[in-house]
Amino acid sequence: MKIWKRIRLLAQRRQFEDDLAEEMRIHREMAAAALGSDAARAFGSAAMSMEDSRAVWGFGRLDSWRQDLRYAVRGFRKTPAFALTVIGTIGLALGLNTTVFSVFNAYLLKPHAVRDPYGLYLVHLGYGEGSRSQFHLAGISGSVPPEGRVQRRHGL
Amino acid sequence: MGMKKATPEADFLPGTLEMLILKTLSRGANHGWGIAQHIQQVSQDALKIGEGSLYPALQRLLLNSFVEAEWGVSENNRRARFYRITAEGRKQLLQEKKSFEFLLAGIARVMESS
Repeated sequence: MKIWKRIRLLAQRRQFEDDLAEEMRIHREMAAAALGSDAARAFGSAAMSMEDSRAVWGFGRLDSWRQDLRYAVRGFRKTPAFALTVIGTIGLALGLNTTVFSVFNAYLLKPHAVRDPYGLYLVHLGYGEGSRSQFHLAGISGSVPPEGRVQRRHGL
Repeated sequence: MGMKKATPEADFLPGTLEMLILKTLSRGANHGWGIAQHIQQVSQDALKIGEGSLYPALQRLLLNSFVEAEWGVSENNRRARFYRITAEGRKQLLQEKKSFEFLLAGIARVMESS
């Protein structure tokens, strides 16, 4: 299978590189012997040939990821103040976001962590105009009319 | 990321070089330089294969198990990596030859129409 060949070769990466480099060197020697000294020039850049050969096995993308990563780390090391500011900003924003969502999730999205949460009432007793007692909780709100009979109303 | 570079010598039809390499190897194992030389000689210098296209093509053939590579000693007592065609490679060569002839005949028909 192609994928196994790729993985096996990735494990023997050093060997692969050495083989290819050696092979191309020999190729150039033979070319120089057969065609004269300007043969090597005619074959173009050895580094580019190596790169094209590597790309066939899909090493190219892996290499460029690693290079991108190393480039980023180098950049951060060169300007530590900037790096810290960026890390701090992102960290703070992430933490804040998580906290706010945790609270939102716990109070508004999930039922309350008690037995029979929908049977829970928060009772405000108010002696304002109309003298109705208000209560709200757990997705049910209603009012206690003066007669003292509880009416349930579904809604928030 | 996966940039497409302009190859120094533009390939003719895609896959043709692989076919020529397989054909060369069907006569017996050979090393990279030998393959390039053989193709150039038989084509009477019409086809010159640089290492920039030869080695990537050989890697493609290796990846597809159409050839095998092994280090050995060349005719003038030098270390060289020899490529050998596999049974799968022979099958592939036959198939590529067929589709190439089909394509060539098609092109010829278009070019010769009046």
